[in-house]
Amino acid sequence: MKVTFWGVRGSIPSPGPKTVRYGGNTTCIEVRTDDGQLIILDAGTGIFPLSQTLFSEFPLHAHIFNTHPHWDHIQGLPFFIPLFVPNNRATIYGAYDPITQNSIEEILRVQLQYRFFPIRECELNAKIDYVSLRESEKATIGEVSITPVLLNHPVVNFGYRIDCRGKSLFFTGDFESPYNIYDPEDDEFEMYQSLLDQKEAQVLEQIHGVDLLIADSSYTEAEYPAKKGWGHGTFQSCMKLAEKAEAKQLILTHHEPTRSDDALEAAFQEAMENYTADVPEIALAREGLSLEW
Amino acid sequence: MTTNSSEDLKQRLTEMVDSMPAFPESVCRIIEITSDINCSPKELVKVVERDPVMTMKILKMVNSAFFALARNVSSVQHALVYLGLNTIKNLAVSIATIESLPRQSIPELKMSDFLVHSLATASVAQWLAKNQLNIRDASDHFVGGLLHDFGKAVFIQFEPATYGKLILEAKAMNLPLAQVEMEHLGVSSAEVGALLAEKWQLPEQLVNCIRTQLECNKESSDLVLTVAAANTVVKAMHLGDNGDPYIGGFSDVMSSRLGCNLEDVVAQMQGLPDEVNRLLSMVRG
Repeated sequence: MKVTFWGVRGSIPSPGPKTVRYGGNTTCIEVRTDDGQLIILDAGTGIFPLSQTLFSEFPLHAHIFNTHPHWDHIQGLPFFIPLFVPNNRATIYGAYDPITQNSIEEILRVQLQYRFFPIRECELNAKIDYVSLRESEKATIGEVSITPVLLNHPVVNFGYRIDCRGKSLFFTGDFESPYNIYDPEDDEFEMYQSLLDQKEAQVLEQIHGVDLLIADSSYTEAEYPAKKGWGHGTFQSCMKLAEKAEAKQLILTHHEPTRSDDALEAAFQEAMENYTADVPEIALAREGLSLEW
Repeated sequence: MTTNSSEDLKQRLTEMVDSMPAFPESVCRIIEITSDINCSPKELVKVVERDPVMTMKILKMVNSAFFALARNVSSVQHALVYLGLNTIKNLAVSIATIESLPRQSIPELKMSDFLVHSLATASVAQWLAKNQLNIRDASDHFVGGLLHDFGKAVFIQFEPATYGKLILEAKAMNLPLAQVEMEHLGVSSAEVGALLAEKWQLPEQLVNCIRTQLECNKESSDLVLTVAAANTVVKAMHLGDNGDPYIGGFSDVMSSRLGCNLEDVVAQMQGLPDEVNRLLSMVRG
């Protein structure tokens, strides 16, 4: 399995002299499985540079898995060049939105309204299919199985586990560990905690033992209290998750867009010094980083 | 009103409840609370979980096939853990705003009295589960009590004139309302509530509770037991109104399994009117 990072910033693209080393594009991860499938996790602006590397593979079939439909995870989709070329195929997978009661199809359709973009969906030449996924229900592509896991964020967010020929990875998308809304002195505290514990156990069961965990680590511990409830994790919450899930390697991503490369490295350094997680390898995601095993 | 229990009836009932408005007090309160982006999740949950329609709709959504969760979700808190605060908040706001229509009452049964009955039953069922059965997590019992008469609200909303007459007839003859429902409609409100809960994939134990609350026996679950007993307690205390004039008492099964009789519970419920007022004030703000 080979994983390449094309976009590692959260919330908004952040190009500029201070984000050169880690990159300024938003979330997009390319996964090549050992049976030759092309799986793309999220279509942030990083999908545009990825798409420019794919010409030699036309006609291709890309499987694009959307964790959730916030802008930074879909914004590059209209710029995914293979969509404009005949004989290519794209299958776009994602969750049903309970609030708007729309399926994943709506994401591209809305972005390709004529007032927002010069090309309409019906003008795309590739064959596009949509698949609405359900919690824990595996999708199968060749020898690959992909399991969506419902994770906490201000909108329905699926983390995805990818398994192929005994190799595995899990990507959280945007994820904040849910917290107890009650105070310890409230009658409901224990009941709520037991629900949280059940949910955590269920999530850990799905992630357990992955070779690679890619997780949303937007904030430092010091920043978190002011951002609680915004739906993102911290360096340390990701390390705890990796340790509990017994992941073999942890890659931290969704970097805060205002954080310069230097500040990012300093924050990471501090987190590593303050926490002794039992995770064999921990590193920051960076545009262009490829991992193969 | 059709009198068979065919798929058509289920479909029609589902459509009815889908278009039912939530209680106006909670709608206003939710809109007020959520106008602050940093609103307290605890407060929001309190308002939502005390509105039977809103609770039912949220549980319906969370248990829908789109999520296909391994375990059915049976309380608002449980839904919050799975879908997160903002999704539940948005859902409550959209239910509130789309459906902030004036809610219909009928002279024979005012909706505000019905809400008092539902909240009181929820509260007593939870109390019985905790204190008489030593069940630590009794939130399911609160939901069971809150939703046990949901089918009546459906009848009132969509067949107000017919249902008003049935309530009057039951009162004039002091008959159990369910008996009069069966006689005239061929379907009881308990069955209507259960059909909807079933259609909406609410947890099986909740569906079973709504359906069998009036036939509590030794095989019944703890949930059915506490809700059935709580319903009797609340009626005996004349707190609120669910349109049913028939009070009855604790059966032998209820007394032996709960280890108390009706009078014992009523005697311990002196604070209940205040508790219900507290629950209502949370809804009303």
